[in-house]
Amino acid sequence: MTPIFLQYTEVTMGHISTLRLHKLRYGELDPEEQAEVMRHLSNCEACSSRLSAQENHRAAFELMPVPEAIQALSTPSVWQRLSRGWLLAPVLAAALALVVLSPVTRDGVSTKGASDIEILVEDLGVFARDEGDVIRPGDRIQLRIPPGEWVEVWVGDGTTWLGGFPVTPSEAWQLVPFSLEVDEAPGPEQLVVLLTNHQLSEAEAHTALSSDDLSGIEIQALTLPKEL
Amino acid sequence: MAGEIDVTAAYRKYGDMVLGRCRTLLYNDADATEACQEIFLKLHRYRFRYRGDASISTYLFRITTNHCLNQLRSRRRRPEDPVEDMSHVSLSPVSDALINRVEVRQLVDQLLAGCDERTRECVIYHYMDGMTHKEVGALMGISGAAVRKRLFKFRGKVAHKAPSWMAS
Repeated sequence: MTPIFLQYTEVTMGHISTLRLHKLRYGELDPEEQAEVMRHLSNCEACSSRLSAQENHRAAFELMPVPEAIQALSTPSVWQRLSRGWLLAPVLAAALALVVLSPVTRDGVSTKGASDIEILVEDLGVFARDEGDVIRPGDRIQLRIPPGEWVEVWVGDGTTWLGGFPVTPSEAWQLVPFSLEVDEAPGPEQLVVLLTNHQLSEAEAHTALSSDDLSGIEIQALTLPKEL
Repeated sequence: MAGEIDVTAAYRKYGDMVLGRCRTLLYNDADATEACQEIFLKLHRYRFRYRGDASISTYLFRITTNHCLNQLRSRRRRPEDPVEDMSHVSLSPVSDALINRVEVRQLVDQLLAGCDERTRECVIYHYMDGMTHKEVGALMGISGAAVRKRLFKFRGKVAHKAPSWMAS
């Protein structure tokens, strides 16, 4: 016996796909494609009915409030604020495909008044992007910060802070008591690291990213190419 | 352009598509609403990874499909909340699939029973959404021939296993 949906498919071949119907409503089909779809719809009750279902659902959707969590995303992101804070040099345009909103890019490290931070990858050592190093899912990453009066290091992904980690003022490089395991999501890893010589609340750490007053604070945005 | 997705605006424009698809695939309004929100939050979190080589609607369509299939797979793994026990849950009449609601469930259940991720996607796009092999290939970044091959294998698999839902 043939499964129901297989039997049905033989009948429905040649109909307009669900995605194309959505694109028709959104005005995203080119004129030729739109004309083709409209021709089909004028002769196909099934697809007209599917389009009506989409339109009815659209009408109902517009009456629904936008969820608060989605509305909150209208607030400029950390990265957007960072990019507004620092002017993008035209010569960096070529780097945009990799580091879209990084304000200043140097070997994958963007800085705001900061000296370099070392990235340590378990079983690899110090990460050297200019030598072609990449990270892979399962890699464990740690950060080593330069000498300074730092008492706290905040680490985030550009959207939220993973946390603020205490360190001790030191004349030597030191490891941040933090590690991150690389996940399997595609695309490069983005990390924002904030060093401060005084304790900050999470809100203050956010505010610092868009503030011009960087007294006692240094910030770096790191982009690590990932290989799956 | 890559990295410039305004997620709130994307929600206002494409939220109906995402929510409707979640309802079709998850058979449950509450789960669909939650999944829809998670998908846009995920879009925001990974917005820098959007490279602009597909329209946002296409990108979201695929993310939504994968998110829902993963949700169903997780639900299936939890014995306290099996897919089979969801039939009593109310569902808004939203489906714009080419096959009816019962058939969507049969299709998804069959897919979850042992197909790899790519085959699952191919089957959903082709049988539920009516995409041609070429359209499925373009969406997934593989050739139409590769899609055809996966569908052929899937047909062979279900035709010889005589799954229980075929009796209905």
